[in-house]
Amino acid sequence: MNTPELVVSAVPHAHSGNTLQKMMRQILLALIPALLIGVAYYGFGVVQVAAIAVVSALVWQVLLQKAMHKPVCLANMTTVVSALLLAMIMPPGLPWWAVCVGTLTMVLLGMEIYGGYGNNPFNGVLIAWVVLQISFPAAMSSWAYPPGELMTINTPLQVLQEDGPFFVNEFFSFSDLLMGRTVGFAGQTSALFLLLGGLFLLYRRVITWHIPVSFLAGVVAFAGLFWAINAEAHASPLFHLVAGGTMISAFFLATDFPSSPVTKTGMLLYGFSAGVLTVVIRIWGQWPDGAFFAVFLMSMLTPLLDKIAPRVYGR
Amino acid sequence: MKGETFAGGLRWPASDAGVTESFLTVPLAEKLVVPMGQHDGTPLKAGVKKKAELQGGDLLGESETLCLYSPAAGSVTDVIKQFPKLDGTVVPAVAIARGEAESSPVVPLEGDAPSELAAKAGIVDSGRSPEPLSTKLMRAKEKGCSTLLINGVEWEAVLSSKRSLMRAFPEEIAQGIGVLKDAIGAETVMLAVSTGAEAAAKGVAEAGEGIEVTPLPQKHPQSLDELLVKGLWGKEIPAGRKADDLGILVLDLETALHTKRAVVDKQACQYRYITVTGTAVPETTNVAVPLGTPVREVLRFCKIDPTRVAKIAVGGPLMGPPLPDLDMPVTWETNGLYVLDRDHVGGGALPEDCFKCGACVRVCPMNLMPFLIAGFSQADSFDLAENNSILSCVECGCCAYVCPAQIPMVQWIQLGKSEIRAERSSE
Repeated sequence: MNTPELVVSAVPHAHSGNTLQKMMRQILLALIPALLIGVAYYGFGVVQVAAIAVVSALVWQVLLQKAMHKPVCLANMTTVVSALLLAMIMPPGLPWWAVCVGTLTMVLLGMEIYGGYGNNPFNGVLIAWVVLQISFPAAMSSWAYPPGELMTINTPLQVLQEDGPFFVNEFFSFSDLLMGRTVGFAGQTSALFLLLGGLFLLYRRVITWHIPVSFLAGVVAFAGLFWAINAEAHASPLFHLVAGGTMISAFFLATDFPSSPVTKTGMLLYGFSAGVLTVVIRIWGQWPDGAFFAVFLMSMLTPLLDKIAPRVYGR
Repeated sequence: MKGETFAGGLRWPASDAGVTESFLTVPLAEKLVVPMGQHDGTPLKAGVKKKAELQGGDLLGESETLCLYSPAAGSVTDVIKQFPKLDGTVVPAVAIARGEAESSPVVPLEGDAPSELAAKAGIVDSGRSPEPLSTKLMRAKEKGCSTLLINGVEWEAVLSSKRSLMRAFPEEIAQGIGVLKDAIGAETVMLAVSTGAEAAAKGVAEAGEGIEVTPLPQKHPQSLDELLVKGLWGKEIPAGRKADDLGILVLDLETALHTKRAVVDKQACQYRYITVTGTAVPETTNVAVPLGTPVREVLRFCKIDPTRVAKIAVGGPLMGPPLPDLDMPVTWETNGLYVLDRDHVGGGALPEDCFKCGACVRVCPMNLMPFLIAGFSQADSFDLAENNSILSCVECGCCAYVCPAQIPMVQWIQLGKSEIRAERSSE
């Protein structure tokens, strides 16, 4: 017989080779510089929280998938990446049970209850963060301190809220803000290393420029407006860029695939609005930092923003 | 807007492999099959009976717009009532056992009017929806098309037959373009090619008169009418219409060659000029294949080991429908043969759930939301799919190619489209 059976399948017969797992691996890689500098400044506590978060998240996922009679699937690494991101926006010394509550919330409300990663309408990491923030406000504000002499035991954004922009300039040099040598935690302080990770993701085309750039533009535009009106009463846009959760939100949290819009216009509006909202909460809100809340709130508008699709060819 | 292109699509590097100045001719096979439907629309009726003896060039089927001839002298072994076409529909077909003569006979034609000769010569303008040339010419005349656009963009980047045609037959193609131009009374004639093929296109332009070469960026799926019009004029063909509604008649490059032979030489068309390439092909080859030749014989001629062949895409890797059987013949619907070996078939991961990364939205040249319409089709929500313009999809394959969740989006979209069409036709 020289008649082979031909495979019949729908077009296309080629694939780019890009997979969810590959994308997640690159995000993991992009987080490593900020994680390392976090370990350098805040010590072993960073590794401890990260390890507890990743392991507990995987355990929760296996348990939940079994409970829901679904095949156990951890291969796409989404849980690992989400858990690490969550760990990076938690204080290094957070008790293990609080971390576990966080990862349970993330895996349950951020993934499994909706049918797994991709079907979730909200960013699981931020749901978990909001729950932790509301449940354990004190533990979530137990900041870590970098080595060396410090002018203040508050985070830059707390100083801004409580003491005003004059003291921000007194207490923090720009290079310290950029490097992250301030009070805070790994995912918040080292703007430069998060930026590097973000640029790596852009270069590898894991994410597109639309959300990060419009997010940063929103922050700069809104902060710049108030700074231009009254530089005495408001911090500079540059400060808002490097302080708090701006960078990790722009490149890692706002770009969360399931909860962010897919069209270019949608992404630009979403990013810009989240950037503006970040500064709004920082100026008028009760919380010192508004970046995470801003992204969380904007993700609720994603279904609406996805309606702003370009006109279909010929229609 | 000239030389610009459309948003989305894939940058797929052009391959110069196989570009040639002469086509090798595949000899006539011992068994041939001529489907009576090689175009979109109603198939012809088989005009011969089983066991009939044929002279080469005898009519097998005839209509006002198309004639099909026997590629060889021999006998009719069977008149198949239901022969599968690549799109899944069935048409009649005539199976022929070849006699002694090993080369295709020349079929002389009578007549003067180009559209009449196009019908008698049996020319089908190939492409996404192949149509008899005479139908296209008559419609273009009715609609007063003032522009003739010859599509010299390779159907897919891996193919090289159009560039080879321009090198092999520049004079004949130029003459054919001239005939087509006069036939519809066009004022402007453009020859669209991908960048890199300008030199070959110039050869054609210099052999004729008033042919303007318009290079377009090397991008998939530039070869489709919709995107040629968009790339060259920045205009869009309204949904459900054709390019000739905008006064532009788009014809395939190969059509110009066949037109010259039909109208100037008064001979019927018996060959298809195609590229045979792919991972199971040792050397990309451009061949002239008698219509009706089983793909098996083409592979044998190209020295491809049939036991290594696992899948054949008719056309290219992104848009080519799969060939169900090696005994299927080469027809007007065969835009090329992309032959894959076992190592390049299957083994892909199971699809993940869509996680809305938006990659498909960014590559879709038609500005659709592929993940959405594919998802609606998958969930049997065909109304929603239709509301989201699923029928505008050109099935270029870009979305599924880039999808990191490996969702077979084109498959779902094809399902949705066929369900919607079935629903419509039953109303």
